[in-house]
Amino acid sequence: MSDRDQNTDVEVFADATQMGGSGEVMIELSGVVKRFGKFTALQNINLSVGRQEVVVVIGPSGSGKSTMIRCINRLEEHDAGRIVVDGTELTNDLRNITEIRRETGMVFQQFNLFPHLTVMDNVTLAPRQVRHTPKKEAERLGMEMLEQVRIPEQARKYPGQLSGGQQQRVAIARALAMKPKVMLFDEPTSALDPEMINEVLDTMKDLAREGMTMIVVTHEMGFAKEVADRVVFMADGQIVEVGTPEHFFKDPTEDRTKLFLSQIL
Amino acid sequence: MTAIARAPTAVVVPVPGPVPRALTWGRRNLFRTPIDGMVTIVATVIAAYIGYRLFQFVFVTGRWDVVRVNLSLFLVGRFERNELWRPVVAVLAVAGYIGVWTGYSRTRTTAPIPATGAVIANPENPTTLGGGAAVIGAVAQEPPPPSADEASEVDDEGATPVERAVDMLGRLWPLIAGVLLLLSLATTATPWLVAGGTVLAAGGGYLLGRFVPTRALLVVATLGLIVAAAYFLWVDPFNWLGVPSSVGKALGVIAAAAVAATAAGLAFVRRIPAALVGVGLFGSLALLILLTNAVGWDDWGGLMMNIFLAVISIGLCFPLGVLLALGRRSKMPLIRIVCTAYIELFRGVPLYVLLLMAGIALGFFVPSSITPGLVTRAIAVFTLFTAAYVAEIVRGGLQSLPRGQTEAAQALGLSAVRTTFFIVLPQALRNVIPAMVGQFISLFKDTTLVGGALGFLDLLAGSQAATRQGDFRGQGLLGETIPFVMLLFWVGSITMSRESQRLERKLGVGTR
Amino acid sequence: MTAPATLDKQAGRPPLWRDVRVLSWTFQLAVVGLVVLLVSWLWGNVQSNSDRLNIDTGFDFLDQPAGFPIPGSDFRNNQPISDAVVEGLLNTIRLAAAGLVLATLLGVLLGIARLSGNFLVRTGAKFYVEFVRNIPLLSLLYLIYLAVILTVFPRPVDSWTLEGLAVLNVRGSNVAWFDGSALALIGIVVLGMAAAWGVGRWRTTVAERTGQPARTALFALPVMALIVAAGWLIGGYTLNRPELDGNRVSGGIEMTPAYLGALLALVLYTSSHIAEIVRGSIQAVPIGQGEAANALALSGFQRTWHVILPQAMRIAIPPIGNQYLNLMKNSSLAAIISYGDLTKVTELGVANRSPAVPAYALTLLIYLGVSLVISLAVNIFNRRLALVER
Repeated sequence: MSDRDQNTDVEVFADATQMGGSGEVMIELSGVVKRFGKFTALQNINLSVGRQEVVVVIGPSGSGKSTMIRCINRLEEHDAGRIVVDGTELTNDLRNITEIRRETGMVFQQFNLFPHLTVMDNVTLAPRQVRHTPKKEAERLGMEMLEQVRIPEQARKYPGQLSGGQQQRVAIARALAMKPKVMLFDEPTSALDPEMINEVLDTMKDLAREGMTMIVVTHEMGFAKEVADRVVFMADGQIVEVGTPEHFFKDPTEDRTKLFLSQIL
Repeated sequence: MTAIARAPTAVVVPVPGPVPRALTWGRRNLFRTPIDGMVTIVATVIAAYIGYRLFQFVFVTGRWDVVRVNLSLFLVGRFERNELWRPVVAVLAVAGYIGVWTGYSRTRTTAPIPATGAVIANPENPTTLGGGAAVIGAVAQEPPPPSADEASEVDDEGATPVERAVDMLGRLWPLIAGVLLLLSLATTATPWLVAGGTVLAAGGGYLLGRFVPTRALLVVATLGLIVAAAYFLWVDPFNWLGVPSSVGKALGVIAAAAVAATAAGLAFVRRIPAALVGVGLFGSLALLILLTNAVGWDDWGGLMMNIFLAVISIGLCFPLGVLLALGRRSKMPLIRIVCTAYIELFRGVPLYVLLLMAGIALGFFVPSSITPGLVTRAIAVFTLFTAAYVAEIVRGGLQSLPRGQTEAAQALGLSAVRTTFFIVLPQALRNVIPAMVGQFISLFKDTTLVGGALGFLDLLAGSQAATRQGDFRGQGLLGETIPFVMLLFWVGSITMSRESQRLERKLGVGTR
Repeated sequence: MTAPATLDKQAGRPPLWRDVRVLSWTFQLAVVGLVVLLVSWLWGNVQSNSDRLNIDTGFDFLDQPAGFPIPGSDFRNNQPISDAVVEGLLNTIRLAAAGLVLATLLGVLLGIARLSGNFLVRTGAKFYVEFVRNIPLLSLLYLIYLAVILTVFPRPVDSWTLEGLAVLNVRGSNVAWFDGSALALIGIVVLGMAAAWGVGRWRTTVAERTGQPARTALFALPVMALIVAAGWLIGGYTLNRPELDGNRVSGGIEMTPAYLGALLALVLYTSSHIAEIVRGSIQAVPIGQGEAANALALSGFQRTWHVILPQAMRIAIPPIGNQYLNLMKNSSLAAIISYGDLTKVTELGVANRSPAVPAYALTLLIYLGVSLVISLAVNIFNRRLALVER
């Protein structure tokens, strides 16, 4: 363990792809920069995420964590650097963008379910419209997903009739219905009442156990300790430290990391 | 004698007897302060005086013959008397159609929401989607008491037909009173028959839509379309396009058959609303042909003209308005500029000037081979003008949508077009229904400008034309006819605005 | 360090037909191209039709002599049309400006009346507003002008006179007005308002220091009245009272029947809309605000002035601004009853051989300009209020 403590994040990266992941690189960010006007939200981000790896990103607000994962599926457009998802580079090429969006699923903090559609319609909309799945098959798939998130009985309800935790699980099912290779989570439990956080985290743990590649931006340290293969700490638009959960929570290297952890733990 | 210490008896204050409720109300609302009291007295005198003069005018001195004799002038202008059956057929068809729609939408809302799905407003919960409520679904073991939102829904569903009828009466009394007023001014029995027929048609349509199963409904629709086809065979529907008679008739029959087949197919796969909309659009076209076949629309007039102009303009301007709104919010700078320029131009100029210009100068903008009729010009102006206002309304609806909706759709890989069509527009348009109805009411009132700008004999122009007829000339009867016209517009306006407020409440619009 | 995985898809510039930027700009250019095509086709038609009918398409017609009089003014037919346009615009402004002021006053009063504690006042206002709001403006205009002014107003010989203040008859209405420079008077009034504002500031400072109520109005209004009165006397202003002499009326300022009719119709109609806006905005202030004010033992007036009105105003300004625009645009209806506003002048000009397309285009541009000015003013006012609140 000790020699890893001295590693720079490049060398930690080298180690990290051999842990947790199956070895292949799924997502790679090299030299990614994102600016909003004069403000630089991401400065030279370098990160590789392996197949089937669970990476948890933590950091203070404004650190760029959400911006980073939103760049991955082009909800934000990066200004410099390269982003590659499963061999496809994210450029201005419409085909690449659409392909990447098909292969990544995103779960938002505010759920963003479509309120005018039933739960089943929410889940089957994309498979039917984007993958051109026939309706019956899409609904079968949808029920499968709803069962996986454990709310199959809500299929015919509207989002407004569900609790926050149920809505977020529907959002997860909706993303899963596209059979993505990667799931991106942007603070999925931050908008939930405390008693509903666990049902969502449990669903996410199930997903991790089944071998989904996941990048999760969250404040839930328990989840990070339990499920993460690696923890990434970001501050002020930079990756400050990367490491295993044990390394992170027991004995982090950087002072900034120590400061942050002391504030939240 | 020892003074016996006695507990002081409670002082018994006589409790004032119950004050009659009227007295407290009066004191609070009319005489709260001395000044208030004086104001009340003065106001009562003024109100009594106005009431007396009004009563006198309406029931004693008013010479309402001018309205009575010219009733058809007010309603249909100089439409050929023996072709009046056409508007009657149109009114009956529209009433029936509205009945079917109402009946059908009844079947959809009476489907019960499962017990665990009780709706409670939860102000703590930041997740406000749609109806602005969250459910304590699986947690609650028994359905919690209905909130204020749900109570109205329950009333609607659980009320008996009698209660519902009374409720409708309370809501629609201006409309009913207006119709009764018109009927009371009728000199023949025909208007009564027409009114009765309309009620029957609406009621019949309602029953049809409510209780008749899909298959039977599509049989009815097909029958209706067969009637349309037969009519096209009899008449020459497309001669205004310059198409020879036999070709036009064939086209008409084929079109009717095609629509019938499509509607049947849609109804078969349970897409009833789509089928109904298709039938409605086609039916409108057929009705239009029915109405213009004998009397070109340049000779229409009266209330019929105002309604026609308003309906066709709002229908035509809708797609343009939505496109403009989307364009104005587009990220593409050129599109945004073009759309903003259009909207700001048409919102910054008076409608009356545009109508004048259309009357005189529109001919310059088209090749000299085309001479658009006056009504065509009016429709063009109303459409272009209202599209700008509709665009602003839709833009407000688009802005009210949280950005996360488009982001979620994008994250799922939906293309821009599909995102707009399936996610953005349904929500945005639902939110702006009240504002759209308001715009329609405005448009309805603005149709009166065609009288002054283009010389049509619409309802308001009719009020002056009536006073120039024969015996009524030079009698200063405008004091009777103009208030009559005002009353008709008032009835239409207030009915529509009240219904839209009710629709707003029912849809939960604005409660996020 | 492991090398990045080999890329399946070629990195670098994507093919043009899939590049989102190229697609976006192609679409935009296509749409703009269509618009340009449409506009040039329309304009081409205008040119060819004008040439065919031997009509000019430029703006030279503005220098031609008008050949028509403008009702209600002493414009002469040999003056150039550009003068007529200016006169028309001035007439529109006269009507709209007076209309805006009066409609606001009446509308605010009615809006407050709709919330009055007195049942009769409340219901009376409600009847008025609910009726006038739902009828077409043109019907109101016709009723007031045709059915009232032209029929009920007396002949000049029997004019209604309000002693020394107004004389009304079917030919025109004269109201007492002042003799002297209007501009200077406006200046005096502005000076008075500035002085009143200064007094207000002084009183506020005193109140802050001593804690006693400021009673600004008590001090400021007399000061303003004094200044205006002084200015009046020094400036040699006199009151020009209308007088009836047989069947002639002299003195005062004359309002043609058309002007009076249009003004009344616009004011009555727009005030009903403004009343609804005012009522809605007061009701939109959360009820907790009034409760908090009461809990702090503020008087009714203080509660309204310091708590309710500032918040209600912020809500009401944009829709009232919209009503101002509507009033200005609705003023064009006065042309129907032959008031010499900009629209009427255009109508007359075109009837007297001015080319229709340029004439109406010019008129539309002028109205658009006035609209933009009003919008700008309302926006500035709105922003100032919002800033003050932050």
